[in-house]
Amino acid sequence: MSSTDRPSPARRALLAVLALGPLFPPIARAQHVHGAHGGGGSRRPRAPELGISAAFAPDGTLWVAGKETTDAGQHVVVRSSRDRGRSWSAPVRATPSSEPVSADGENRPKLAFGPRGELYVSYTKPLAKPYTGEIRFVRSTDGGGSFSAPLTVHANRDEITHRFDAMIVDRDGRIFVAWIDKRDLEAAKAAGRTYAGAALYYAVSHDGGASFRGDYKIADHSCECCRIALAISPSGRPAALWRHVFDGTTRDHAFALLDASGRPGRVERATRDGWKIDACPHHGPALAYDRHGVRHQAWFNMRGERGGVFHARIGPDAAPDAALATAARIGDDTAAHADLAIAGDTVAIAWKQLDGDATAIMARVSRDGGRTWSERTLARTAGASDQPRLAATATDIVLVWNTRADGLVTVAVAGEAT
Amino acid sequence: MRAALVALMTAGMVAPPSAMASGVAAFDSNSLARIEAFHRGKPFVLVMWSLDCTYCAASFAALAAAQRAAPLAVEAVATDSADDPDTVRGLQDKVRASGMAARIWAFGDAPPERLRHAIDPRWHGELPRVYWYRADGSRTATSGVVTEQAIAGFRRASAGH
Repeated sequence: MSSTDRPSPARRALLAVLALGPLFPPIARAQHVHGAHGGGGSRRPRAPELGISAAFAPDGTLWVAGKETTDAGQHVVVRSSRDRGRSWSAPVRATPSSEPVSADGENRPKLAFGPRGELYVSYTKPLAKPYTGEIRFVRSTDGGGSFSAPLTVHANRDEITHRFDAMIVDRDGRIFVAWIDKRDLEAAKAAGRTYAGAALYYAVSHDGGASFRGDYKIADHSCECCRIALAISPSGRPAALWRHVFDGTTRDHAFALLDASGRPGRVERATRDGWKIDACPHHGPALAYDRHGVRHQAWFNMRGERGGVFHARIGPDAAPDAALATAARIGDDTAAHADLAIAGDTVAIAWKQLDGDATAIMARVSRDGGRTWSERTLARTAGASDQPRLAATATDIVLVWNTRADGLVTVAVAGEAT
Repeated sequence: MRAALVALMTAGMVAPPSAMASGVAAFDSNSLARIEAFHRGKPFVLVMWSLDCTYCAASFAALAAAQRAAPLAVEAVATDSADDPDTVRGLQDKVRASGMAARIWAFGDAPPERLRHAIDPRWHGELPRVYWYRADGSRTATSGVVTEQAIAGFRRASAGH
């Protein structure tokens, strides 16, 4: 059913060409030369945080959003590529004024596009107290040349958790931003009640990101520390998949459709692995739909003593539990942080896995909607790295992977370029 | 400071390793072997944690309470980067505030997934993750919040050797 192959010499050469410098090379170098950080002249420079997002604009330009840290402060920055990652623009600041930005693997700036090519960026701004934050949003209506001042998408301004933002634009151009929120936990604590996990909330912009309305609750009792996956369902409504706390202790996944006017959707159980734990897994799922309306989900869980990454395809009329029973294990025991993307009948799953002395990004690609697969290594790096991000057009899928040693690595996974 | 030092000594510690000038040592691929050698013949608890870990404060509180009752050596290894001075300060503040006596480590330059794998291939990064080392060097692992009962069970198992 699957086969593993090593990159051919040609592919290795391509990887070498595509492996560019660090996301923000000039600044990283300047820090290194001066060795000055936070006033400590002899300190080592702070290693840049590697969390990025990648997405194709409607015109085929590939964009990444990440974080820049200098002695003067922190910014969200974007870069773009017109040749699918062979060459990248210089970083452009999406936040004109400095403010704290989260940019780790589970909680990094997000990118989405409006119907006329508007560029939207959301991110978590950590506040002074541990685990607290605000979900911020900026937009560019001139192709990334300039950005609006940041706005906070939620009405609640308590210094509590509003973190782990996720963003998607529906077919009508409405912008949905979902996040993990602890207002219900705080209220329960104040009332002397217990409350498992956190909650999931979202807000919607009906005016292209000029304003957001909402603080609509998706569900109580989400996990506190895992990324949320969003995808547009066949009905056109955004679907959310997230790690949830069932029955107070079990960290399986839940699924719900979002509504533009905030009407609550039904919360369904989306995995049944039964991982009972009071801990932060820092490991959220991935979600995509194919053109036949089949829901593809990839996730990490412990099943008994053995952890692993799993993939399931759930047809529009299928009983989810039956589909889950046939979930496929992906990669080896070190597999982690899978991403999913679909272009036509091609489904790609990319994940991180240890490979000798290196960290590898592996991929499984199916040309028949996820029935049969071939497997291969897309890239390797020796040092620290972000999670793999897959970006898709209608025909192509590319991997974008931010690495400390090799910079921004881009590999064609499916489509014309492969 | 004196109280912290006394707490360290009661916890069965001698002087911290010289690398810990800042109070937080970088945890690299050979650090686990050094920690195990340091405690050879004696039980200890290795707690993997991070600044972002919601369940770690309660775990530290349970370990601190246990230390007030009887000596219990703790090594607290954060998966945060030892590179960042703010992080290092945050780690020290958090341990200090918990009242738990522990040597503090933070992940060094090697990729975090590699350090995790070197500690335990069966650990997937969930926090807290605790390794309960008995005097004979054998260990058991648990994921999730550390409870009074778990510590009591460990003490009974350690006494059995």
